[in-house]
Amino acid sequence: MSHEELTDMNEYAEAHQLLGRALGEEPTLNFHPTTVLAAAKRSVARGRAWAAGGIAAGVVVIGIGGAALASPFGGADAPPAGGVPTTSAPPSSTITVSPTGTVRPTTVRPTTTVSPDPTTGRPVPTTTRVEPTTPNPTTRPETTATTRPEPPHTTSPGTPPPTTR
Amino acid sequence: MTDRDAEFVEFVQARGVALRRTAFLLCGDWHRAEDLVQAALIKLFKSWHKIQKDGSVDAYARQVLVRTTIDESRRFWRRRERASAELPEVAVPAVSTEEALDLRRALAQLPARQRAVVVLRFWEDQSVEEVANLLGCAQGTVKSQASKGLAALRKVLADQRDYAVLEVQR
Repeated sequence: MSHEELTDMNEYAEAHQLLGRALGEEPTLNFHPTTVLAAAKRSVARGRAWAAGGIAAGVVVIGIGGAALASPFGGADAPPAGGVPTTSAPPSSTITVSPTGTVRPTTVRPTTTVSPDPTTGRPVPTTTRVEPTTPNPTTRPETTATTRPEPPHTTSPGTPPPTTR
Repeated sequence: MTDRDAEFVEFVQARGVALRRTAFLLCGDWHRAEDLVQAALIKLFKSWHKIQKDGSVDAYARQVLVRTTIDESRRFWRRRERASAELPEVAVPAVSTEEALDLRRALAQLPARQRAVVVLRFWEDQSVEEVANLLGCAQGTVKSQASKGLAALRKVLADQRDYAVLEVQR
């Protein structure tokens, strides 16, 4: 046996003896095994009751949540989240009447490139014009040339400016 | 009474006193030790079937007892133990010797985890590996904590003996 092991044994024995002396006079045991058993059974029963209550509460919460999602309480009449109505009027373009009597829809038209006619020098639209959806017959324009875009500046200086038809 | 209940009662009768001694060394109060043992036994009963299958009822009971004691010592409303020069009179049995009181005072000054290492290692005769598994720490930690705990006990006892010698010389 090495010196180190002997030291360990002495240390171990010394510590064990110290702890044994620390106990001192031991009082009598105050609890009975059957009492502990009864307390343990009560604790188990209490735990089971809590678990059953928790499960029942969970079932109730799930049921209420499912019922609310199924909306049996007039949920269809309720406005949707965010306050945005589901049924909205279709978009309509407003008609503005210019002082000259022409009607111009306010809808944005696509940009068209107009190249001048080589014979007349007049610009020829290459795209169809957007017609107003609900034109007022009384304010129907006599000519639509006023709504034509201006010709580009590539026209020759000698040609006359485009006139209305 | 079922077989399970009979086995549990038998275990309590056989190991109750030893568990209470361990609990006393861990907490330093016999009444509190009884409370801790009962709490540990109730926890033990809840998983009695599982523990019996493993066949390590005693080790599990010791583990539950130590963890219950450490957990309880962490609760601020249950920190009744104070390291002081004078022991409270209510905690001093009339039959205790002066040396036992000195030892209890020295034990009380150790931190809960260090005291658990000292008790399990030197009182319960557990190996370093067993104590490490029980407390969930490294074996090196157990060795260092046991060494520090024992050194602290020796120092406290030496100081108290020196103080006693000085008192006698006066």
